[in-house]
Parts: sequence; C-alpha cells; structure tokens
Amino acid sequence: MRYQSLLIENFRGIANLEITDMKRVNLLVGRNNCGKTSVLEAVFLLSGMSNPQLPANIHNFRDLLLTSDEEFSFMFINLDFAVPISISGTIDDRKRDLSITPLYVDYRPQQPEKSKQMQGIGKRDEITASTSFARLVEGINLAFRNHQNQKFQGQISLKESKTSFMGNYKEDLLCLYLNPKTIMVQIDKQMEGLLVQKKLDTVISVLKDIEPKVADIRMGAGGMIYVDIGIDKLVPVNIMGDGMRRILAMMAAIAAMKNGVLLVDEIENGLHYASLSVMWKAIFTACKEYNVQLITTTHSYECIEAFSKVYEMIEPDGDDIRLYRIDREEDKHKAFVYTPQVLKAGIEKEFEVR
Amino acid sequence: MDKSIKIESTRLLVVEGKDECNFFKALLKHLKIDGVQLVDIGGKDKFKTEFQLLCNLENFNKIKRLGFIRDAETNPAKSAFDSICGVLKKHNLPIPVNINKIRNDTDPYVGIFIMPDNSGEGMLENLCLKTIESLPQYDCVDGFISCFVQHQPQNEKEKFNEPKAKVQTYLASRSPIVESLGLGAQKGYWDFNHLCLDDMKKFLESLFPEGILGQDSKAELTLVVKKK
Repeated sequence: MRYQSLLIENFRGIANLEITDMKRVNLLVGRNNCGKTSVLEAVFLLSGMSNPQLPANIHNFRDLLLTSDEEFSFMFINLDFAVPISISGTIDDRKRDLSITPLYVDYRPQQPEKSKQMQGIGKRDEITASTSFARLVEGINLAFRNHQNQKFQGQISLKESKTSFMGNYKEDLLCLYLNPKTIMVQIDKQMEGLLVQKKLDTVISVLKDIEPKVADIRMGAGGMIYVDIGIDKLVPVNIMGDGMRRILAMMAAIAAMKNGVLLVDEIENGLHYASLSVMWKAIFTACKEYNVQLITTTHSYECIEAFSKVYEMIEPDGDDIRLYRIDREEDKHKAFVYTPQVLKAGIEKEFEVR
Repeated sequence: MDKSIKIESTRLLVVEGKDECNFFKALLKHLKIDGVQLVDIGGKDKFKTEFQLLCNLENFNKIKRLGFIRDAETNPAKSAFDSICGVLKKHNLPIPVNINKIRNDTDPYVGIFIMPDNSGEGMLENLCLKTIESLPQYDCVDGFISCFVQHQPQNEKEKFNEPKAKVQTYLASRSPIVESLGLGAQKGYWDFNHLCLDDMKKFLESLFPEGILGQDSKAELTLVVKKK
C-alpha cells in the first residue's frame, strides 16, 4: 500500500499543503521550520486514524509530554482550536480523510458558598458581563472516513485519562514513525522478525559495506543484539557506531512494515557522508522487496546527492522516487516536485534543490 | 563556498550556454542595465528539465521580469518561440503574444527574443559577425573560411558550422586571443553600437527598465526574503 497524494490543512504551521505524484521513496527537503516533520506527523495520524492515542504520541516524538488537553492546541494552526485540522490522502486509489476538532465542555462556575454570598456577593469584581459559560477543552475528537465513505470517530482526553473509539473499523495500513529518538525503540522485535524470515543475511551484507569486519548478527536473551566482528566475543550492537545501528534499525523497520509505510525524520542523522550511498542502496532494495513506501526528511546535500546517484545506478530508467522541496512563504506552503531526471540535472548543473 | 544556482534578483534573463551568459553580461553592462541575473538553461531537450529546476527554486515566484533569448538554430524563429511558450504554459506562466513583444499585463512580465532577427534561422554568432562586417579584418576572415571550405575534407562538410568557424577565426586573430564569443564581447571585440543589435537592445531595455524596479532589484529581493 502506498500514498499517491496528500492534502494537509491547518495542521501545526501548515495552512494548506498538497503533495502529489508520490512514489515508493519520497524525500522531503526544505529550510528549517518549513514543515517537513509536520508532514510526517500528518501522514502518521492519517495512517493510524483509528488510534486516538497518536495525537499524544506525536508530541512525545518531539520530547513534549502533554500535561493538559489545552496543549493539544499545539497541533492546530496558530494554536487556535477554532480551526479544524483536516488531513486527507489517497492510498492505492482509495481516499481517506481525517478531521480533528477539540472536545469542548461548557463550564459553569460554582455557586459561591452561602457565607461568601452573605459577605460579598454583588461586589463589582465578581459580576460577570457575559451570559455564556466558559468553554474548556477536555480532549480532541478524531472523525474519519474510509474509502467507502463510512464515518468513524475516536476521542482522547488527557483529563479523563482515556481514549475511546466508536464504530467497527479495522485498520489495514501498517505505518511506523522513526526519528533520532525513537529509531532504536523497537529494534529488538523487528530484528526478531528478520530472523524468523531468514533475512538476516541481507542486513549483514549491508553492514559489511560499512564495516567489513561484520561477519554475523546474533540475537541474545532479552532482545539484546550482538555483532560478530571476528574477535573472540560477540559485541553488543550498542557498542557499534551510531550510523551502523541506524541503518540496522531502518532495515529491520522496513522488513517489519511489509506492504506498509515507513516515516523517517532526519534520515541522514548519525551517518557519515560516505555511508549515505550504502544506506540508500539498502533502502531502495529493501523497500522494493518488502513493498514499503518510505517518506523521509533530510537537511543534508550529500544525502540528496547520494539519493539521486544511487537510484540512477540501481534503476537507470526508474521513476519510483521523488524529492519534494517544501517551501513556506509567509502562510503559504508548497511542495516543489523533482523527478529522478530533474533531480539528476539539478545536481549536475548545481541548481539549489534544498 | 556554495556556488549553487539560486534566485538572486527579481529580474531574470534566461539564455542558452555559459558563452551567452558572458555575452549578455557584457551587453547589459554596455546598456547600463543593472541587477539582471543571467541563467544558463540548456537548449532543446534539456530546456524542459532545466526550466523545471528554475521554477522550483526558492523565490522564483518573486520574479518580476522574465526574459528568454535563444537561437533559432536551423528552424524559423517561430519554432523556438512556440517551444518556449509550451514550457511556459506547462508552468502556468504568462505567455507573450508574439516574438519580441513583452507581455506587460502580467506578473511577471515575460518576453522572448529569438536570435538572430526574430524571424529566420541562425544564431548569436550571425549577429556578432554582422557587427564587424564593415571592418577590413572581416574580409580576411571571410576569405580564409571561403578558401578553407574549398579544401575541406568531404566528411566534415555536413557538420561544418560556418558562423561559428568565422567567430573562432576572428577571435583567434585578435590580441589578446580569447576562446569564446562571450569573452570576446567582454573584450570589446564586437561592435555593440551596430544597428543589427538595435532590436535586441530595445528588447532588453523594455524588459528591464530603470524606474519602478530600479537598478537595485537584488536589494529588492533581499528585502522580500528578509520578511519571511
């Protein structure tokens, strides 16, 4: 399953952004604060629209633990609950859309105690000039429609410490969000999956391109992953370089997301530029093998260059990657599309593509 | 140092090749037109791809004046004009009504000039040679090429480009020698005051006038960018 297009409205800093012509591997670039990470979060919410926990999770990914429902405003444009969030996309010609709105409760101020009434009722500073009750946000509502136009609804309330879901909906789209903070979280389970599928050899060959000493990978007790680098003892993968662990984690995640969507923020993070070609080669191959769509971000020119050159090397006439430069001018967002041919020409002729 | 191509001015002149960039840099300087960014976009098949790259650049939407100067090559000028118009249409950009007619009711203004004369076939080399036709040295160049053609190997005749050969012969005879038409322009080897360049000069002066957009369109763009 893969996204063909996306439309994001009033989510975080994005008033309106349409991304079309999406392919198997999609690389988002652009200046800081242009909304790249927000696009990944929007895809994550739309992919897991029946899971009302996700709006809280996307803040955890940013090291932001929400403590009150009012803080869900961080998702709304200009922090304004009055403007609903709308995220829609087409996956394999099937449309789905998600609308996020606040859950309001009308708040009636408590009546003053009798003694207080006797003492001070009618004092000027206690007289309200409004007839309406205060409206408080006690969570958010996620209303969504699937390709059959069936409507469903989920809710999350931090105050009530609960999530709820109404309707009979079963999600068939797998989606995983990785960023520098979360990338290693599920690696043990994902590696187990590779082990069961007898696919560890593929990962080992990729790691060998970075570190020729790598001979084998073993799973230990408690999910510990060890690497055989030809010495007397196995070495925990945690001891290996950050770049190797990240590539290992991405390979494992691609295998775990078979037929699904993988979202990776800052894909070049922790990788030396010389390893970027190895990474892209492994990703292009694995995404094709496992039929996984990758949507990812980078700031690195070397990463973009390797993205283009490696794809041309392994698929000379291929058209299954896209680069999008996300641009934000004042309140308007736009995704500028680069096909493999246009990107190649841009790099050769030194056009700025970031 | 980052040498990548970026939008640096609100006034853009798209030409084909680095040599043309050098030529028009010299011609604009001669005309005292400042603040025009020259961009080399490949011809024929490359044009569509590289123009897409140009349109994708940050701040392209801030362009106020967009000019194209290209060679007609071996086709009538209309053919090159139509080809550019097709690409402009694809990118939802304004299309001039005619060759050498600036579309000035749109944002950006757009103009297309097809060398040498907006009608027949030919190229920038034809124009440059015309500017020196009255010089006595031109007869020497002409005579040399005429003689050479008579003794040219048969297998080279088909691809022989006479205007380019004349330009190279002329430039190789000047002191100091320069290797390209554009560098020759910067050395003053072509007569920018020749009548044959009048249409092109008028085109450039109309598309990039002094005044509202002023001389300092780079500063204008910088101001716009800072507001982001």
